[in-house]
Amino acid sequence: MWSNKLMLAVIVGALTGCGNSDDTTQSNANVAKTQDVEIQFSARAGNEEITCQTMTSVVGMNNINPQFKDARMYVSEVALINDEGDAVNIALTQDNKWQYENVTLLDFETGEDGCANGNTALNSVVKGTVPIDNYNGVQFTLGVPATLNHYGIDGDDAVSPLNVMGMNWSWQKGHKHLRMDINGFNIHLGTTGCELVDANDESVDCGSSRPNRPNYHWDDFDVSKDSIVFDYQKLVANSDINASAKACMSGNDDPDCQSIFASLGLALDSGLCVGGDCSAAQTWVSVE
Amino acid sequence: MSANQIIRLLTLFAMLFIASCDSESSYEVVSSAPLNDNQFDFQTGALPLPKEPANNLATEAKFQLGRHLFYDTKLSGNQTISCESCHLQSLAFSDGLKTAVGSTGEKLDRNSQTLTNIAYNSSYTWANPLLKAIEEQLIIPMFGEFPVEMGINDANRDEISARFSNDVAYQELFNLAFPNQQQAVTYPNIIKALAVFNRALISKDSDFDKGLLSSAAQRGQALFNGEKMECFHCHSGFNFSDSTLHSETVFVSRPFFNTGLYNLDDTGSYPVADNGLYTVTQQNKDKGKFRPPTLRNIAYTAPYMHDGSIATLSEVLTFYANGGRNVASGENAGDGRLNVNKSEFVSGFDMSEQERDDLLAFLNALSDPIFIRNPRYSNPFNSEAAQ
Repeated sequence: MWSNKLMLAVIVGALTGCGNSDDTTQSNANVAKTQDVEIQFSARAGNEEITCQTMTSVVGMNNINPQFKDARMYVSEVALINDEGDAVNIALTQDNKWQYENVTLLDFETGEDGCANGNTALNSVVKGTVPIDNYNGVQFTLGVPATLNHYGIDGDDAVSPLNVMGMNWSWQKGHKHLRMDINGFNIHLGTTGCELVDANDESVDCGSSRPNRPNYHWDDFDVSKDSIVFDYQKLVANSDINASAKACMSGNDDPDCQSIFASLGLALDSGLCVGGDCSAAQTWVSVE
Repeated sequence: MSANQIIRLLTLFAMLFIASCDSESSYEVVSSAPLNDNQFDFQTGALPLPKEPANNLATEAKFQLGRHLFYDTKLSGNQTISCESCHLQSLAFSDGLKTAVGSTGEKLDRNSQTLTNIAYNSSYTWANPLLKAIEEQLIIPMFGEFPVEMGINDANRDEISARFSNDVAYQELFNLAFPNQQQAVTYPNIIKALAVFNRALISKDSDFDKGLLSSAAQRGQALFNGEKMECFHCHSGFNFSDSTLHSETVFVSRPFFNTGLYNLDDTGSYPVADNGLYTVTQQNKDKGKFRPPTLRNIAYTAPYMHDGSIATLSEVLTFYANGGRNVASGENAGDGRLNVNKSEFVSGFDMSEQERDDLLAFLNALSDPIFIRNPRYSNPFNSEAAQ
C-alpha cells in the first residue's frame, strides 16, 4: 500500500516537524492516514551519557563517581498530544525485539564493563505511527501495564522484550519497570503488594497494590527535534549513597526509597503519583 | 488418659481421615485415574494425581528431558552447579546445609527445601502467594540475581541454550519432548521439562503409607493429631502440609504461618534478610510468615526452618514445645514466643521424653527409603556412563 516515495515523504514529514503533515494529509488523503514517529530518549548522569565505566560526574549526597551495572526501563502508553489536547496513542511497530503491544524497553546499558550481566544491544527510541495531525505534547507511563506485567520468561507468553531476564521481577511475578544499578546502589522500581484473591480461578489482584508506574507529560514537545532525558544525578540527588551496598527495591517502608520516590513523583506508601500528577512532582525527567 | 480423652482422639482421627474437621484439613485419598491425558504415569499410588497446568501436561519425553536438565551443570552460567547441587536425591532432594551457596559463590538466605511431593504444593518457595506453579518458581533459581543461584542472565542466555542445541543427544530429547517445533531448545521449554520432572517426584512408600506404624509411632501419631500439640493444624492432609492441592481440589488455601522463630521489634519482624510473606505483600501482619512444608521425608532434610537455624528434629520439637524461640542476644535478639504475628497454634506444650521419642518415631515413619533410591529419579548421566 505504501510506495517507497510516499513512505519517504511521510518520514521526512515526521522528521522535519509535525506542522508539515497537513500537506501530506491533503495531497494523499486517500492513502496516507498515518505518519511514522520516533520518540527519542536519553539517560544521563548530569551532562554525561550513562556508561558502564566509572563516570566523571558525581551523584548522591556523598558525591560518588557512579559505575553503572544496569540502566534499563520499560515505557508504555506513549502518546502524542494534538492541538485539541487529546492524547493519541502511538501504535508501536511490533518488532519482536524492543516493542510488544504498547510497551517499549529502553536499554542504556552496553553489556560490557560494569554491565557484564546485561547485553550489548541498546535502544533509546520508541517507534510507531500516529494519525496525521498536529502534535505539540507528549506523555508516557514508566513501566509495564498491569495487563502485560505477568508475561514472563516461562510459558507461551515469553515474548520480547517482556522476557528479558534482567528486567524480570520473579518474586513479584512481574517486571522491574525501571532498573538503574550502580556500584553500591541498586534501584528496582516495580509493582509491589499484589495479592492472590481468588484461589479458585487463580486470579491475582493488584487493585490494592502499589502500582509504582509514574506517568509523565509535557505540553511543549516537538517530536522532530526534542528528546526526553532521564537524569540519574537528579534521581539520586538526595540519596545517601556510600560504600555500603544499598538498594531501593520499591519496598513501601524502605528508607532508601524515600528520596528516590520523591524524585520519581511517586508516593512511597501508595505507589501513586504525588498529588495525582507525577509530572508536577517529579524532578528527574525533562524535555530538551 | 481418660476414656473421654480417648474417645475425643478417636473421633478426631475419624474426622481427619473420613472427611475434614475444618476447611484446612481435608484428607481424602482419591482413587484417581493412574495416568494423565498424555498417558503419563505419575506413579502416585494411593495419592491423588497432581494438578497440572493446562499448557504443560506431563509426557514421558518431557520427564526424561527434565531429568537430564536437572542433573546437568551446563544449565548454570559458569557450569559449576546443577539443580541437583542443592537438591540431592539421597537427602530427599535437599542438601543438608543450613543455607546453600550459588554458582558464583553468593550465599543464599534460605534453606534448600526438599522436592518431595512439590507437585501438591499450593504455593512455591518458602513464602510467596503469587508463585502457584513449579514453572513460576523455576524462574528464581535459574535467573535470580539477588542472590545468584544458577546464574543465567541476558549476557549468557544464548551461550547456555547453545550448549543444548549443539548437543546431538539433547536435540533428540528436546525434539521428543516438544515435537513439531522449529526450534525446541527454548527457555520456556527448558522450564516446562524441568517442571514436569519436579512434579513427578512423588513420595508415597513410607511406613505411614504402608500402615506399618510401630506402637511408638502410633502414639506419636496420636500426639501429632491431638489438641495438646496441635501439629496437624498446619501439617494436615495426605501431604502433611496445609498448603496442599491436587487435581480434585475445589477450594484452595495458601496459608502462611509465623511460628515465633524471631521477634526483632513490636511489629513481629524477622531478620532483615528474610521477613517471609511480608517481603511480597508488604503488610505488617505477614512479617515472619512462611509456608508450612510437607513433613514427608522430614528426617532426611535437616537442618530445619526457612533459614536452617534449627539443627535437629528433636530440637524442632523443643522449639514448638516452648511456643517459639527466645533469642537472648546478638543482632537477632528478641523473644519469638511473644511475636505479635505468631500462629495461635504455636502456644507451647509440656512434652515428656517418652512423648518426644514417640513423636520422633512418627515423623521417622514418614521417611520413604524407596523414594530416595528410586532409579527413575536418579542422575541419568551415571547410568548412561555405566552402559
